Amino acid sequence: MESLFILIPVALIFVALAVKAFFWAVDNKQFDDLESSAQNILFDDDPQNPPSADESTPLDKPDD
Amino acid sequence: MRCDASCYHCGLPVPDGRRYEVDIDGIARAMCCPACQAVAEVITSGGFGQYYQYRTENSETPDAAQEFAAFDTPAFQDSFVSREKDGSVSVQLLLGGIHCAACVWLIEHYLRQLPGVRALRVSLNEQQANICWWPGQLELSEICAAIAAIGYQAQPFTHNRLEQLRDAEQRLALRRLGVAGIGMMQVGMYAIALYAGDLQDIAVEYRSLLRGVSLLLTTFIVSYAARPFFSGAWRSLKTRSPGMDLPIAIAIGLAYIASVHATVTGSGEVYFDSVCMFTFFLLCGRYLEMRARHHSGRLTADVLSLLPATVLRATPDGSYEAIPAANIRCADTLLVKSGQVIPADGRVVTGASDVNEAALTGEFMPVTKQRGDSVSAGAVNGENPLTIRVEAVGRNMRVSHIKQLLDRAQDEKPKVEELAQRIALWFVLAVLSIAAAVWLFWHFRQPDLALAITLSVLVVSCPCALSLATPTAITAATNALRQRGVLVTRRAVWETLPGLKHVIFDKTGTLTKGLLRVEAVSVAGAVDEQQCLRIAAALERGSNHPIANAFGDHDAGLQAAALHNETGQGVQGMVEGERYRLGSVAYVAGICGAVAAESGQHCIFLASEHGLLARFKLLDELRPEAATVIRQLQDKNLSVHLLSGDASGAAAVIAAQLGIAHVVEGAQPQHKLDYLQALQGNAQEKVMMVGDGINDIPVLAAADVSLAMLDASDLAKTSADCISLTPSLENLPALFATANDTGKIIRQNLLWALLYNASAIPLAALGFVPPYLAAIGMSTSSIVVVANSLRLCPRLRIA
Repeated sequence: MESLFILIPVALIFVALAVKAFFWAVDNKQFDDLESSAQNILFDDDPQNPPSADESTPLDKPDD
Repeated sequence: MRCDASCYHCGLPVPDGRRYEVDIDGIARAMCCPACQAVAEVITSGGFGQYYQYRTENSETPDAAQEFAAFDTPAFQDSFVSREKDGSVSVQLLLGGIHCAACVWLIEHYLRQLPGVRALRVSLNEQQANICWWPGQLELSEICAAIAAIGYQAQPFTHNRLEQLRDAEQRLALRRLGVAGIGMMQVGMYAIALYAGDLQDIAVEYRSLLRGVSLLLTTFIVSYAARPFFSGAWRSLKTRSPGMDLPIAIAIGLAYIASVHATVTGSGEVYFDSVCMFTFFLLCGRYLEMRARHHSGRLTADVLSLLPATVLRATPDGSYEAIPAANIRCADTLLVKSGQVIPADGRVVTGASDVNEAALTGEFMPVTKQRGDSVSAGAVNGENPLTIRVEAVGRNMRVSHIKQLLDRAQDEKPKVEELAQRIALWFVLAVLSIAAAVWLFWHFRQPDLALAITLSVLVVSCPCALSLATPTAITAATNALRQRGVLVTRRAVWETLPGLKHVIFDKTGTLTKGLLRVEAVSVAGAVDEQQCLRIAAALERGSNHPIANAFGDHDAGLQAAALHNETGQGVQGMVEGERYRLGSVAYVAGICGAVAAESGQHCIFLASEHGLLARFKLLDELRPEAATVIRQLQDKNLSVHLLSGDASGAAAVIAAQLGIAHVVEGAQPQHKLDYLQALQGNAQEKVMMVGDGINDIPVLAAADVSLAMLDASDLAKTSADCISLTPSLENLPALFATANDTGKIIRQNLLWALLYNASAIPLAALGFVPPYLAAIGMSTSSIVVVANSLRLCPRLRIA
């Protein structure tokens, strides 16, 4: 049971990391448009036109 | 091969006898007009044909070609384009016409293949694109032209201060919600260990450890996530208008302090889990409410955004240059092409055209403007180009005057005090005085127990259920109504609707469909009715005039040649070798000699060289459900009014048809506002406004409750409390029914909360409530309230 004295603080560090990751996501507009990203994955890029499909990797962040 | 009778791109009916086709994925698809055809061709030739499979809604009919050259001038770029350190530039574009995720997909993929695009992101929610590119390889005008080529409208804009604040508010609220959620899960986990430990005699050092960790996490939640409740409570104390924030802040604060006290002294009970859960639930409700509010706020919120961003100005050498609309000065001469929006108030110098002034009057019938006539900013030019001399810009334009009326109306809108808010103050006072009495009693009887019991009274009386009673019911009702087709954006609607006395309707576009239909044909010559309609349809096929649309249904594919349009008069053309004229009495008399026929509102005539053939009576059709809806409202003892900007007498006819007793015709925005305020001033009666036009905006804003129709302008939607999401008046009874149910549920919730407190507080005061019972009691009372509210959601089931 003494392990709790180490495990619980470790868990707290993980919570802090989770909150930090969440803040990062909010600041990077990850939650601004929930609908189109959810559907986007279902849209195949044209199978007859593979080169253009390969180029269209999702962009991470526009510098605004 | 021939396909369906509606345009594959925009879904409008395809006129017979015309062939606009585009080959999409191997099948020839019919298009309704050259504009749709051009857009569909660009989309398919770029290899994006699968857009048509992905989309969930029809696309919009594309606009006439626009000028983008002015976007590249330095003056324009300075105000909209920002430069990055690495030499690239970026701009924010407001996009018109995006409806579904497929639109986002299409725009992103189409723009990404342009050379020089560095990064881009399109947001469906905000209807915006954020584009970053390398100057030199690409120009802003090319980007906007590319977006226009696939059928969307792009307009550069800068975030105004209000929007920046709104974004920041939304982001902060989301952060708070996330912190409360993550924290609640952690603290809840430790709470289970603590409750289990209580039953199994946990060792003191582990109990202190778990309590200490919970304290740490809860401190963060209370100081960060729950801050809006504390600042709200403090504000309400300063302004002496206690609202719901005060009891919430007291509950969170006291439960937290009691738990800290217990943790530090190692005695008593902790309530960290309740604090976190309560905070999370309340933040959830507030976040959803904020999103609904922002959704309507995001619609174009400025009258001036109706106006074009760039205009063509005459230069001294006789040519035209494109300049930003902001640079228009009085006495400039501007060219307004066919289909464009007039950018400033002025007078026609050359040209004659039908101008649609719906923005100012709400009426869809165009007005003929000739040399010397005045035109207003915001009106849409019809068939012919006009040059105008500018007489007023900016604040002095007539359309800006509507904005000023709107601001005034918003200031004067009656304030609504919510039921829970009225109870809140008494509740707080009662709990605090009971707590004081309990403390006094135990202080003289058993001083060592006094503090613990007083705290348990305060915690048990925690107004969770009370403060959840209204917001949960409202959130559930808002969701339910959205499924039924009404978006409610202001919560005051729920409190106001049950006490409503008057409902005011606009005519055109609200009670009527805002579309002309042929109501009656009286044949005067040898040609039968059907043939007359077919000839008229052939003559009017190429026109966008509302009268022309009335004949669209009767188009049988007759070909008309040598068409000539006489602005404000009518149209002439050859059909099957015969010359016909369709238009006013005076116009048709030009080929068939004097006509002895009765004229009237929306009456037009068809004649050949041999004489008059027919008289068509056109009518703006009533919505089929209008009569039923009005009767339902009158059955509820609501008095129904009709306020119309139309001065032609049609409003009185419709009112008689629907049994509406109070009618005002030819009302200007100012008159409409005065009429509404007279009703409101009259014994403080509550008034609802249902409308759609820009001329209705001040009234929509000033009414106690307002509903904007689906086809309403964005600005009207922003000013209204509710937006109809389907083109039907039947949403109105649905709104009333849901408001009734909501009122019932709120009262049940409040009753339950008060009953719970009335039974729990005496027990706690006597020292009979152990902490786990207090926790169970608090959670149960909250869950009962939430579950009761969920009954308003037809499709939602409690998991």
